[in-house]
Amino acid sequence: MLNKVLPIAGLIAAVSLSGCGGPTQNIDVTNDPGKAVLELDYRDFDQAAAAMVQSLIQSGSLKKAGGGRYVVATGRIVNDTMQRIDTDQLMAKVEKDLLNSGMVVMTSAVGGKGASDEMIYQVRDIKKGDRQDEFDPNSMPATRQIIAPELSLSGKILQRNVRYDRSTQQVEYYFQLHLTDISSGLRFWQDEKIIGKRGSRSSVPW
Amino acid sequence: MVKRTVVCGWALALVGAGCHPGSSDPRVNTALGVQSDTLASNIITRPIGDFISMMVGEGIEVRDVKERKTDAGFLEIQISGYNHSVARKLFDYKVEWLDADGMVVDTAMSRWIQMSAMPKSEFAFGAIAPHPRAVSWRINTRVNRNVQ
Repeated sequence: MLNKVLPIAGLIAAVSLSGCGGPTQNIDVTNDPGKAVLELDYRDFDQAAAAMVQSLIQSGSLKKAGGGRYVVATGRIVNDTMQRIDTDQLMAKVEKDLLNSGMVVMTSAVGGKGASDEMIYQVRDIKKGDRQDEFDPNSMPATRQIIAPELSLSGKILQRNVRYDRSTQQVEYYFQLHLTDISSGLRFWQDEKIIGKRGSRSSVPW
Repeated sequence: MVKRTVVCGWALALVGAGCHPGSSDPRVNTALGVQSDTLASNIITRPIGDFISMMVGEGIEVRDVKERKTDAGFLEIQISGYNHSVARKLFDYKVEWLDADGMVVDTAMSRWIQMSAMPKSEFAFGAIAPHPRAVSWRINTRVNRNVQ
């Protein structure tokens, strides 16, 4: 009797376990019809970046008087949400479009998180170090060559959780960016994009 | 006699369903419940109008497309239209920009953007090219099911 029951029980267990998790699928990130989630996902960053770039180009703030291109640094982008966000998720898209617009040049030498490319300074440090003899001095960057930024793009991502009703919570995300003229300290442009979501109170958006 | 009255009521509701007066100036749209009741909008006949609107599948109509170049040489567009439905229409749109050779210009702005058009109301949305070399464009739309 036990000989018959055990294989059947094993088969049932195997079948039920195999149905627990569906197969992994890649997301169609260009036309994703997936449901919204309470946390910030890539679609929210896409929407925020698109709105910000459109607003910034439309404002005309990037048109330099007398022609030429502004040198822009990405300043500090504060993550004031309950989620672990790398703010580059937003800024990489914004920077890419600003660069491609042909109106600005981004600098990698300074930024809110320090230089975005440490190699600028590593190569310069070689000139003062033990390994300086290994390099052709003519190929080393000269002093006073780095161009200082004229404009700084900085901002904040904020989160507010609001109780909507007994079973629903509302989560509001605010994407704020502003463009400041570094020499005068004057603000040339700023905008805010709000993304609001409602979902179960049992979900925790972080 | 009763039959005739019911038929007349339906006919009037059918005729009135498409009308949406309430403002002497077309630039000012007064929503249902804000404006005075009409034959199409009163509490008895409105469900009939709503039903007809739903049955005929009324949606949005694009009425005007405007283009201009900004001072910096960027092409800017505005799409205006009208939502014929008695319900709010939620949709996404995506603008793709094309250069003079018809090649798509890659940009973070070519993303699905949410749009909401109020019932029986005008709506408009705009976009700006990511680069002066973008000289043409195309727009795609899809139903948005993720927004309340």
